[in-house]
Amino acid sequence: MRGYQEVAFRSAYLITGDASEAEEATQEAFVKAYRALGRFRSGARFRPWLLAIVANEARNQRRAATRRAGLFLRVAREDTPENSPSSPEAAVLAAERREELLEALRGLREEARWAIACRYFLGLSEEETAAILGCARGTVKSRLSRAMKGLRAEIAKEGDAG
Amino acid sequence: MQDRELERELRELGSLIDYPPTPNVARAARNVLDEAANEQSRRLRRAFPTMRWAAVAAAFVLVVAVPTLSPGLRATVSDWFVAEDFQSTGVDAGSPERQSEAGAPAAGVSKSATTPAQAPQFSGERISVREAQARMEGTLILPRTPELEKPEEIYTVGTASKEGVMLVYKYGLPPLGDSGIHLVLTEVPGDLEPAYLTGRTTAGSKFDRVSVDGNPGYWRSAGNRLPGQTLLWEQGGVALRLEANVKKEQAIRIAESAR
Repeated sequence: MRGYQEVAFRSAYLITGDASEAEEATQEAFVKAYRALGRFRSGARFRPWLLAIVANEARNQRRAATRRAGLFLRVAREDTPENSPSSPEAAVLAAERREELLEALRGLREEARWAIACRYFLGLSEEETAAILGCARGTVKSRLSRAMKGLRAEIAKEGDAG
Repeated sequence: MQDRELERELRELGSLIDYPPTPNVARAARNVLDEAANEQSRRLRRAFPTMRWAAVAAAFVLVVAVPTLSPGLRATVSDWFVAEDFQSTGVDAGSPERQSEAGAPAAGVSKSATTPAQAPQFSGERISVREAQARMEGTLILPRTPELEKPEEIYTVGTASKEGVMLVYKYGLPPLGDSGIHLVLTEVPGDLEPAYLTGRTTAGSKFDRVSVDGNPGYWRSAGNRLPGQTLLWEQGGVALRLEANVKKEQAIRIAESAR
């Protein structure tokens, strides 16, 4: 399962907002997954199955945590060649825009934020996103649509305030 | 703003997120499971001590199967603890020249000079205590009883896959027949049970289970190439074989003093 560590850990991190809680949740999920491997339906996709266990553990951690989940996501590097803006002014504008988006995400409800993060940050499939959100695959689209609507509203609010 | 543009921006933002480094949770999970399995096994052993013998029986099957599969593997498991003659365990029938080469102490030479035919010769390389210590990576184990001082001679024993040492004592205990030897202690890094089991199969003689400092040991009162008794036990990752002309209790006492 080593090949799934990163996506599992990052999924847990997006839910818990804390590295050590994410680690604990992922480890516990892996233990449970190892023990439940015998019950895994052959023919089913393994990654969504594993991510559902991870998300469940992460939500348990999240509920147990007393602190409020603040904005924990940070932008790492902005000067990678593929993302490098053409001028210093463009770089400043791009950084401001990213901050604006993060701020707008901050204003969303957790479930909406998770939906957007699953799809666009982690690049998960609908099935995997459903596993993380704990919902039916058919409802992922509508949840994501509502989350995007909320995000646009947040961005507009920031625009009005600015 | 168009949805597609917003999606593109989100994907780009996602690619720049600074995630904490991913820990090796798969390994940590395996460790948790291994520990749980070990604990369960310990509980079972406590509840059903005979389970240990079931494990020994299972190992027995493996060890017996190995020689039929691979002569190379046979060499590794039928090492010095098990074979019934010194020819295959690192000791040759004696010859005066070889005895002289080995540089045995005066008492040993004197003894062997009077009974050259019975004096066993060790085919391993004669080494010093310091070399033996290095060979055993610092875990050379020596008996600490008053009757035994230090080994008069130390020889290497080994195969391509395993190596150990053989300590020869020439004072302190009843001699092993006319050999001039009072005690031979063989030490090999590794587990005892495969060696014990192979010995059992090749020797066809019975070992009794004994306790050496709370750990399992095996005692055989029948002598083989030397007219003594044999005690096998394991200590700190080293399998040991003691051969001496002593009673079981004394052998265990010597074994328990070793460190």
